[in-house]
Order: sequence, then structure tokens, then C-alpha cells
Amino acid sequence: MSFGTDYMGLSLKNPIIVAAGPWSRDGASIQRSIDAGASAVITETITLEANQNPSPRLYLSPTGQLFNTTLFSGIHLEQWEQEFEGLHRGDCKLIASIWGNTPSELAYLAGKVERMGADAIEVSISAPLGTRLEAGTVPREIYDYLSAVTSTVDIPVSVKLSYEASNFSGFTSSLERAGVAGVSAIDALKGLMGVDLEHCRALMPTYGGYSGKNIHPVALATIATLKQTTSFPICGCGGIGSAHDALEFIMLGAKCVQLASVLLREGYAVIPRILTDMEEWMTAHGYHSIQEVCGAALDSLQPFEELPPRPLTARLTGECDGCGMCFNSCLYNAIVPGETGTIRIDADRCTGCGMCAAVCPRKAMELGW
Amino acid sequence: MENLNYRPNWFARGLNLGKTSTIALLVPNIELRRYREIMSGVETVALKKQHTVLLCNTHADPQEEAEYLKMVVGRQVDGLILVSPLLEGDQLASLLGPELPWVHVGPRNPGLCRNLCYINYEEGAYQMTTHLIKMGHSEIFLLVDKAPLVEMQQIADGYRRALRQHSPGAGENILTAEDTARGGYLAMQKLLQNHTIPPALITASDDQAAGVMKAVLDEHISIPENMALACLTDSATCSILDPPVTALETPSRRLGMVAARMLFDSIEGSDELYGPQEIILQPKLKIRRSCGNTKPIYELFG
Repeated sequence: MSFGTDYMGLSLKNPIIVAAGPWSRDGASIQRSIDAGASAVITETITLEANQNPSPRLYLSPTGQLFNTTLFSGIHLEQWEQEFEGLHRGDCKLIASIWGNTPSELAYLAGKVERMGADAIEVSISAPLGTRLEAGTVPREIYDYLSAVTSTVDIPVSVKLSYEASNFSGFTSSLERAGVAGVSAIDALKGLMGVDLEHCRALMPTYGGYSGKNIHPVALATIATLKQTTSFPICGCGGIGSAHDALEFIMLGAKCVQLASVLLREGYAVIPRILTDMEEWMTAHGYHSIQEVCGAALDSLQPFEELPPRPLTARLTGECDGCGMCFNSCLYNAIVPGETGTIRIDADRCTGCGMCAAVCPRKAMELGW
Repeated sequence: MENLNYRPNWFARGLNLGKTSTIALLVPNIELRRYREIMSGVETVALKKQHTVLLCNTHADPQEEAEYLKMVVGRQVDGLILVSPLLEGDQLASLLGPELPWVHVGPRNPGLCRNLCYINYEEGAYQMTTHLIKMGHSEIFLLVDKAPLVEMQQIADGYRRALRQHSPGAGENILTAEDTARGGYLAMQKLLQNHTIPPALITASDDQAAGVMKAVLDEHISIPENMALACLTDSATCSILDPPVTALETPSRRLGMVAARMLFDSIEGSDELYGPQEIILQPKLKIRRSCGNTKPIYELFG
């Protein structure tokens, strides 16, 4: 079984890439990802001036949602030169993540990281925080930004897209014209952890990047959308914590995926675990290569207008214990308590919305003809 | 070496290797924060490259500039960075010769260095003036440094462009003073003595703005109610003053780092791959309260 894949002209030994973030903040931490078996590692975002990250900058809600107010690398470009030199890459690719305020800044950084030995570049152009919010949505400026980079370097250039940018065709078509070789999506969403009602204070001092498994469905939808609306090779990112998650992205059209928040929660050991689980699953299901899995689920998606109208209604097909969850959530008053502590369905009122089947804790409800 | 207590002679080594591990940095005025921050950025990179920086304060005087250039060329520095030079291109060319790597910090000027970088003060001043016009002010005064600095020219150009575009009937009101708190204080006092309270005032620096605030405080005039105020450099002081001052954040330290990097690329010969370099840095509006803004949302600088 061939586990390799290709993305933006790079041939990768497997589909797992480590995303740009503080777990890739220097040579030593990047080496850990390399040693753990990732096919490529993306550096923490490098800029012309090292960033002074606030403290604290990582927040975890009581329900396990992760937020960050971190931005870019805290070490200088000159230091990065040394970090690159010390790496033992083997067959792992090194992708430099860069950010700049103007096309000329970006072009300079791109040329520099190419000289430093990066195999490819990922331009962070649409971080949810800070300065780029306005210009990041204007197509002509985006073209200028990216063509400054693509015309400076020979190595492939990709862009990390936000949710908003991915769904804006003006943005993505400008990227295509500028010669961008691939896109990764999505970056973290803009979020606020909550409000302390007793003291009338927001729980975070400023907006943060919301990431982790809760953004997974948003990321999946974005990958499928990008696959349909653009011709880029796509790298999926957003709440991947298992082989199952990674394969979901690949089945919706991603050529590879990035791991991010899960590295903070579970450490670098998650990399070999996911790789092993993916290989096992693929072998057990008779897949011989990532290519065979890539996009396998796309045909099952349809535009809303083409969904066939089907007059399904709910019926009880299993054991009911009278918990009442279904009739509490029925908007159509089609469920009433029946005799002997169960429920009764009024088929004329039921419009087949599917809520009762979804909420039933015993999976005793089904929709049928 | 330890036994003999031998310490290499830096100067002799330089003669031997043809390098002095020194670069020169010429700035118009080391007392102004915008140039001190450039120095800080240059020095950060130079240290990594194990070079020392010869600092030259030219007092915005072309003659002093020429004197310093002769001195540093005579010292055989490995390269130099010229911040906002006043000398013309041909004078510089004859003083520096064709071989010496150098970087020009300032906007493009025909005949000057092929490697340049600068902060887009023109765009910054344009954005600040436009912001005040959008806040409802049609008459906006501008206070700049009285020294003949190219940054001040850029600022005046941006201010004029904004007036032309968004407030075509309005006349320009450009004043000059020392770029210090005292300069701002005296300039404001002079206006008040002539019974003039500008509806809106932009100062070239936050130091001048602080002086302006003291002058109006003394006369019990309120900012922003009686006069809107903004300035074109930012510092921690701006958010501490009352009201917090709307300012233009200018990445001067980053500019210094960029200039030094371009110089070392040139010294090391790696700039041949990429041709002449021009890097433009963008300043950023920090909208606080002194301009009349009441929305807290701007304070997140989203």
C-alpha cells in the first residue's frame, strides 16, 4: 500500500503535515515532528520582526474548546537561519510559513527562506487576528501580494486560507492568477471564549483564534467547497485528532492534512499514532493508495436545489422507554405520549424532519416511506 | 595563546582579511525616537552577523553628512546605511565609489542606491488625515519637524493628497517646530496667542503631541471636544495620556532590521540572485480617543 501523496509539487511520504504554530517554534521542536514521522513540517510564522507574544495566550474553556492569542514567531530571521541549519530532515519536507504587511516585505522573506533551504512556502495571509483583515478581502491586493512572492522564488508557494477567504471566489481566483501552487484551509476562526457575567468582563482580553475539533465541520465544508470551486491541490486543516478525521478530509478532496491543536493537547506522539491507524484502516478496507481515497465521498454531495423531495415520516422501530425526548423536540406536534408509557406518532402531521430520530437515546426512531 | 596572554589586534586582522567587521549608520538626529528605533533594529541584525555599528549623527546637515561619509569610507567599513540623506545622488556616488555596499533608507530618488527601504509615511499621513476628515473635520492643521527631513516631505504630501481627494475646498495649514514636547508646546501656544484653535491638529510625533496637550490643558481647552488631535508616531505614552492619543504606528525598528539585512545580503554577495531590492513598510493607524472617536472597538486594533 502506497502511503505517499503529492501537494503543490512536493512529493510527500505520507499525508500528515504539521501545521504552522508554536509547536514548530524552533529547530529542536521541528526536529521532534520530523522524528515522529510527519511528511512535512511547517514552521511557526516567520516575519521581518520577531513578535512579542502576550501572556497568557492559550485558553481552554471548561468544555475543552481551545483559543489562542498568539501571532507569529518570537525569534528573529537571523536566528531562524541557524535553526534551519541544525535540522536533520531526512525525507521530511520543510515548509516555511511567512507573513508580511506589504508585497515587498513578503517577497524579501520568501527569497530569504528559499536561500535558507525551505522546500516550499506557506503564506499566512488571512490570520483571524490583527492587521490583515481588510486588505485580505480585496482581490487585486491579494494578487499583488502573492505574485510578488511567486515571481521571487522557484520553490512552490501555498496560501493558508481563512474560512472567509475560502468562500470568496474573488480571493481564490486572484490566487490562481498569481501562480499559487496549493491552498490549505482553514485557519482558526475568530472567537471569544465567553463572558464573566458576575464581573461584566470578557474572559479573554481580545479576540482569539478558535480551533480544535469544534471547527472540524466548518473545515470539512470548506474543503469540499474549495474542491468544487477551484482547481488547487488542497491541504485540509481544522480539528484533526485521529486517523478518522484525517480520512474525512481526504475523502472530501484534500491531498493531505495538517495537525495543529491536537499537538498541544496530546503531544508529538499523536503523529505516529494517526499514521499507524490510517495505514491500518486503508489496508483493512482494500485501498492501495491515498489517491484512491482522495475525493471518494465528493459524489455523494449535491447542491441543495437538487435534493430530491422524499415524503419520509418517522416510525418507532425499536424499544421505547418513554423518556419523552422525541416529543419535546417535535416542532410539528406529531408525537404524543401513548399508552403504556411509550409514544404515538401522527403520520399526517409528521413532515420527516429527522429530529426525533437524531435525539432518541436508544436509536429507536427511524424515517421511512 | 592563553599562556602568552595573546589578544588578536582587530585592526591588524582587518588589514589582513580586507574586512573590518564594521558597518556605518548615518542618521539625521539620534535624539528622535524614529531614528533611535532604526538604530536598534540595525544593531540587532549586526550583532547576529558579528559586526559593530559606527553611529554617525549628521544633524540633518549635508555638510556633516559629507564629512562623516569621508571618515567612514576612510575607515574602510564593510558597508553603510544612509537614513534620509540630504546629499544628492551624484555627490553620494562620488563620495562612496561604485564598490562599497550601501543601503538607502528613504523613498526612491533617481540616481540613488539601487537597494532601498522605507516606511510609507505618505500613505500613513494620507490615512490619518482622511480619518479626521471622516470624523467630520474639514479644517486640519499639520505640525511637522522644522528640520528639512524627507519624512516630513512625505507626510506633507500625504496630508495634501487627502485634502485634495476628500476635502477639496479646504486650504492647507502646515506649521513647523522642533520635534520635541517643547516644540509642540510652543507651536500650540503661538496658535493660541493668535486666537486660533485648530478644529483638528496632526503632529509629526507623539512628543510634539504631548507638548500640544500641555499647552491646551493650561488654557482649559478640551481634547477632543474643542480640538481633535492625532500624531504620526506611536509609543506607550500615547495610550497613557488623557485622552489616549490617536497615533500612527511606524515600524521603525523593523525598518532598521530590513536595512541591515539588505546591507548584509549585499556584503555577502547574495543580493545578486534577486536584483535591486525595494522594501516598503506600511504604517498602521491606531485609533484611540483624542481624534473624537468614541467606539471602544478600535482599541482592539482588529
